[in-house]
Order: sequence, then structure tokens, then C-alpha cells
Amino acid sequence: MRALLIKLATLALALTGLGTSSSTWAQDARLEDRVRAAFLYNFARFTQWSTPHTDRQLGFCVAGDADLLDTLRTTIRGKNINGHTLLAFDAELIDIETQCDVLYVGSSAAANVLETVATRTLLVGEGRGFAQSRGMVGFVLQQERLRFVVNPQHVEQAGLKLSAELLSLADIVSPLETSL
Amino acid sequence: MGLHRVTRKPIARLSQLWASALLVLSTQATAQDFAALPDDLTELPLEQLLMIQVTSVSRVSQPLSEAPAAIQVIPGERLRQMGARHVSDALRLAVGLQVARINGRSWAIASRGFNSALSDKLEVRLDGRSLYTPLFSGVLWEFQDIPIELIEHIEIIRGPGAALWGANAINGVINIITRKAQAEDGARVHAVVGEDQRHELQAEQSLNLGEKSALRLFARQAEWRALTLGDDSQGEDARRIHSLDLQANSTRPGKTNWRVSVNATEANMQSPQAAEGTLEQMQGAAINAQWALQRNPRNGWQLDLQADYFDRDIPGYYGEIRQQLGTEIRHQRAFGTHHDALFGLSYRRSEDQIRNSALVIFNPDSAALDTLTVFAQDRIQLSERVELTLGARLERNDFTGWETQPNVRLAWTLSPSSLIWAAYSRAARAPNRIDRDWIIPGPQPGQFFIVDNDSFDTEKARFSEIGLRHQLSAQLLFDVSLFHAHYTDMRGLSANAEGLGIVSNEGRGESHGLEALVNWRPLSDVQVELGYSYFDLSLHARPGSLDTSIESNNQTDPRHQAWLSTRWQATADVHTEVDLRYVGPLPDLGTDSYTEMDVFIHWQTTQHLSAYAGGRNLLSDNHAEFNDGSAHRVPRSAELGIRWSF
Repeated sequence: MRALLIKLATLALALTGLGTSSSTWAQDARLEDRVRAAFLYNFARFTQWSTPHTDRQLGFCVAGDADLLDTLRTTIRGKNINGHTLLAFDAELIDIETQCDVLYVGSSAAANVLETVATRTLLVGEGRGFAQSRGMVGFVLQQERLRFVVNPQHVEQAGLKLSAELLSLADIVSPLETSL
Repeated sequence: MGLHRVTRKPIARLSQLWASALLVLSTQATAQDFAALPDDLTELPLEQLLMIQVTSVSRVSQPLSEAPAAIQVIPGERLRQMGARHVSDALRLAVGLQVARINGRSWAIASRGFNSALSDKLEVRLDGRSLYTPLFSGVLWEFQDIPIELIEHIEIIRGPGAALWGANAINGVINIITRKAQAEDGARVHAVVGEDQRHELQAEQSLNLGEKSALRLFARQAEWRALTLGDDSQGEDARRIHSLDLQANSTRPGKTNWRVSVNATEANMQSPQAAEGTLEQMQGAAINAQWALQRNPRNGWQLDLQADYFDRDIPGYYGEIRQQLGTEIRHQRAFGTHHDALFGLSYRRSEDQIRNSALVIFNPDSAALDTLTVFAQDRIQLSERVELTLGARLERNDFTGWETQPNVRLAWTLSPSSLIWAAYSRAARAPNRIDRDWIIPGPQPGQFFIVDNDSFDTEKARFSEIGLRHQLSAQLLFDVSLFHAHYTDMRGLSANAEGLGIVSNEGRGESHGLEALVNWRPLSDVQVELGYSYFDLSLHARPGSLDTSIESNNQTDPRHQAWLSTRWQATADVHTEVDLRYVGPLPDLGTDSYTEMDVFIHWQTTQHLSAYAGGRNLLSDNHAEFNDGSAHRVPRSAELGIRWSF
């Protein structure tokens, strides 16, 4: 069996090549981040901005999660939404107010990241609490799957509109919950 | 109890104890669980993104389709649809396990062979707490009767999981995960009446405990009839169980999560060993606290604290009081982009007091066993498609000191839809009280059939495994694994220098087998699962050994088993299921092969009320599963149930 294992390993390495370039590593991202990135892309697809930042680009910004940013870049590469080119930025290196149509706030993002947010940015973060307090969409891990919670009030206040299709799959934050 | 019984019964039982062999049951994870995902997840509709399982069994988050091991996951929902009433019903669905009902109250359950009432090579965990008793390193299934309604899912790992799961996980691991408490669940009642299981009543109430925290109280009462014996007389094996479960949990992604569960169980059972007019009784309680901090998918901490107590009494025969304390801490972290490591440290103390009798003696009659464990694993991304996992567990037990259990696993993703994996593991089963301290007295004072043996050593196994998981199309999934195991120092009965019988370690041998599963969805509302397993075990006493028990006790597992499960979601509200299974003969027990069928129909009448009806073992009046047909026979039976939430 040992011989077989070694043979298998050698074969596998020979076929795939050990010294693959760094770009292929981006595809090795953990599944959870890949799912998050796919959700972010879909959130943008199902959101209507009353006043888009620019007509040609749609900016995704990520604060406090470098791994997700990498994964997101891979995910959106070569895609567009309604003709808008998709771009991904590190929120700490960019003017959030003018560049970010979607802002993902990671668990380790700086506390003040939300202070500079324009009203028309879709705010996505972690947990129901994020959607209750300031955010619009919060990821929750439920039964080993990623679900999301939406706060329609905050979405509306920002002048955004989420499609019924997206809302039908979301867990909704009730107004009562946020007032308590 | 007459003298003749004193002398003969233990021997009959003994012959069942030492055994060997393997196999499997059906299947279940939905196609989705195993489905290879597309590289670009944005191709999936949102509904499917919501269904992707993002954490899993190898303790480091990893999708099942990539796990380099023989793994099957049975979702709790599936168990409820198929009318499972005991965990054994669920395990019958798992390819690669041997599940047999011994009588109305006991089960023999093993993975990859060696099945017996005292199966000792399978680790079973409930929310991380090991359920085995160090008395015989096995599970008292009649007492560890986990309510099906509470199960979120069951993970079954065939083959050694010892590097991560401990010295019992020599041939397999079963992880039973219960549902988290959720305030939205509200109040529910579930009632069942039937022919085999007389009735079962369950009630639960969930409450909000503040932000992201909830509490659930769950009460259960169930009663099972005695089975009929081969001569049409009634067995002494009826069982009644009451249990109470309390769980509180808090879930905050990216922050700390905690869960505390408390269980209290009482069981009363008929027992042929119990003194005339008395019942076997068991009472127990367990508390389990888990605290976890998952900073991100690749970095986290988890701390577990566990304590449990039980008192088992078979009046006039034997009694056991056991108190256990356990703790485990583990840390998962990434080193660069190529390494995902896991470290752990655990400690368990198990104290017992045995009530000896003229029939069974443990010497000493009370013991405190400590087990200390250190384990580590590194998952190394060798290339875009090849992942190597190196793991090892160092475990110290009070009988034999340190045992080392290493394993190496390789996963090779051939394409997004297929994966080949291979593994080599060494595993050990540490001695337990039965191995070392058990005495069976003879009919005359000073006469003994079996005396204690302080030199009983660890049983050892070396496993080589290889598997393929292939998604042929969106509707068709194929999963196969092959294994070969080499065993040394296996348990048997021999004689010491004085010519007295002892539990000895003089067996050695090999097993090999195949487990295959096809999951086919011919129509969107029809799912077909076809499973087959082959198992062969050959054990012999080593040359020069006086052991004569092994030769006649290593064919207690079916060589062939097959499953065919068809599920049809007839309408949005009606689900039907037909499960067929074939189990080959067990030569050393004289058990014939059998083919049986279960049929269940589920009807969601309103949002709050559902009803189901079903029949089990419909193809014959009754059949024996773990004896030569003269003893307990499992009957055809009908069942009705309702679930009501409000």
C-alpha cells in the first residue's frame, strides 16, 4: 500500500505540477469564502441603485478580510452586471464614498469603516446583529450552511431596492427587533 | 436461577463476544451533499448556494466532496421521512455498517466487521461526547437512545478515524449532531403508535434567550414490546425509556458560539439475567458544554467540557455505576495558503463501581481510568488539485501507556466532478475492563471459567483504503471505497500457565471489503439510492496459541449486503419511501440471510400538522438478525405517527 500511495502521489504531482503559479492558488480558497463571494455577486445582481456611482463600473469593497477579497476578485473576473464592469477593492485603500457600490464588512474590519459610507452603498456583513444595527445584509452560519438576513428598512433608507427573488430567500429583520 | 444456567449461560454469551467481520447499509446524503460544485459558484441559482454545506467532518472545515475518507452523511430530515425510531434505524441506511437487532432492546452495530453485542471498534459521539463505556469500549444502545426528532444529521466515517477521534475509532466513527435550539421552533408534539414500538410521545418547547440565543426543553417517553422467540414464546426484552433534554445555545458567526446540553434518561427493561420478578434498570445524566470561537473559516478554537453519570442494575447478575469527566481543547489555524493545521489536547477520567455477583465478577470492583490525548493534523495543499493530510494521535491509557496512531491521506481532484482519495492508517484499541479484569466463576467454589489477565495488550490494526467519488451528471453520483486491514493482537479466549481460561490477545488476521453507493435522481421528485457492500474477514489464533475461540467466532458479519431506497415526493405535501435491504448470512451465529422492505408515507396536512404511516419488515412474518432463528425474531410491524407544531 505504501508503494501504491507513493505512486499515486508521484503521478498526481507529475500531472498537476507542484510549482503552479500564484494565480492558481486563488482557486484554492476555502469553500465558505467562495460561497460568500458568490452571494456578494448575486446581491449586486438583485439590487437596484437609484443613483449608481458611475454608469460603467460597479465596485465591490471589502474591509477586514483579505482572503475574501482575493476570492471575490477571482469570482467576478470577466463578469459584468447589466453591462457594468465589476471591480473589487480593499476598502482601506480606497474612497468608499465614491467607489463602493457594495461594501462587505468583515469581522475584523476597523470599527470606523462604516463612518465614511455613502447612503447608496449596499452594506453586507456578518451576523444578524450587523443587519439589525447598521447594516443591510448579514451572513449567518446555520446548520453548516451560509444564510443571509436582510434589514429592508436600512435598504430602503439608503435608496436601494432589492428584488423580490432575493428577499424571498432571506431571513428578514423585523422592525420590532431593531427597536428593542 | 438454577446452577446449570450459571455454568452455561456465560459461555454461550462468551462465544458471541469474540467475533470479527464487516459491511454496509444504504445511503443518504442528498445528492447535494456529495455533489462536486462548479468552479464558479455564481453559476448556481441562489437556492443552491443556500444549500452548500460549508463546514464538515474532518474537524477542519472541508466540503464533504473533498474529504479523503469513506464518509456518509445522513440528514435528520431523511430520518424523519423514513420513520426512523431508533438511531439503529438510521444506521441501517449507511453503506459499510453492520446493524442487527439482537432482541427487543439490544442492537449489535459495527463498522467494517467484528459485530457483536459488545462491539468495541466503533467510536460513537453525541455532539462531541463519546458514548462508549470503558467497561467494554462499546455503546449501550438500549440506553443511548437519542431521539430522532433531535438529530440534525449523522456523520459516518468508515475505517479508522483514530488519529482524530481516539482509541475506539479503530474501524469507524459515528458522529451524531443534534439540532441547535431555535426560538422559531416554538412548541411541538410528536406521537407514534405501533406494533413493535408500542408508543412514543415527545414534546418540545423552544424559547428565545435573548440575542442569538435560544433554549429548548425536550421530553420523551417510549415503550417497545418484547419480541417473539423462534418457538413462539415471548422474549424477556420489553423496554421503556423516559428522557429529558435541555439545550441552550448561542450562535454568532465570526464570534464566540456556545452550547450547553443536559440530558437525563431512565430506562426499565426486561432482562433474562435479572432475578425473577425484577427489571434491569438504568438511570443516567450527562452535561455537555461547548464553546467555540471561529475567527474565520481557517482559524478557530473550541473547548468542550463533559460530565456524565449512569447507574445500571441487573438485579442478581451485575451492576455498574460510572462517573466520567472529560475535556478537550482544539485549535485550528492556517499557516500560509498551503497548510491548515489542527491541534488538540484531551483528557478523560472514568470511574466505576461494579456490583459483582456469583455469576460475573470484575476484579477490582472499582477502578478509575485516565486517558490523556494529544493530536495534530496538517492538511497540505501540494498543488491546485492534490491535498495531503498528515495526522497523528498520541494517547495514554492506564493499562498499556502511550499508543501512537498515525495516518496519512491523499486527495486528488481529477476534475471538478471527481475525486480519488487514498489513506493509510494505524489504529489501536486500548484494553478495557472486560479485557483485563473480568472473572467468570465456575459452579463450585474456587472454580473459574475465566480469570482476570493483567497482560492483555492493545489490539492493533493497519488500514489501507482507496476511494473514488464521481459525479457522472447532475442526476447521478457514484461513490466507492475499497479497503484492506491487517489486525494483530486480537481478542480471544486462551489459557494461562495454570490452565485457567483468560481473555487473550492471540488473534491475527486480515479483512478486506468494498462499499459502493449510487445516488440517482431520474426525475426532479424521485431519488433512488443503490448500495452494495462486500466484506471478508479471516482471523486465526497465532501459531502455538491455545485459543480455540477465534476460529468459530469471526464470521458474525454478512459478506454481502445491498440496499435499494426509492423516495418520491409525490406532491408538495406527500412523500413516500420504499427501502429494501438484503443482509447475507452470519455463519458463526447460524443466522440466515434475509431481505426486508420498509414502506413509509408522509403527509403534511397543514403547515402545523403532519401525519405518517408505515410498515417495517413487510416481506415476512418475522426474521432473525443475530441468532440462529431459535431466539428473538424481528416482526413485521405497522406504525402511525403525527407531528403537530404550534
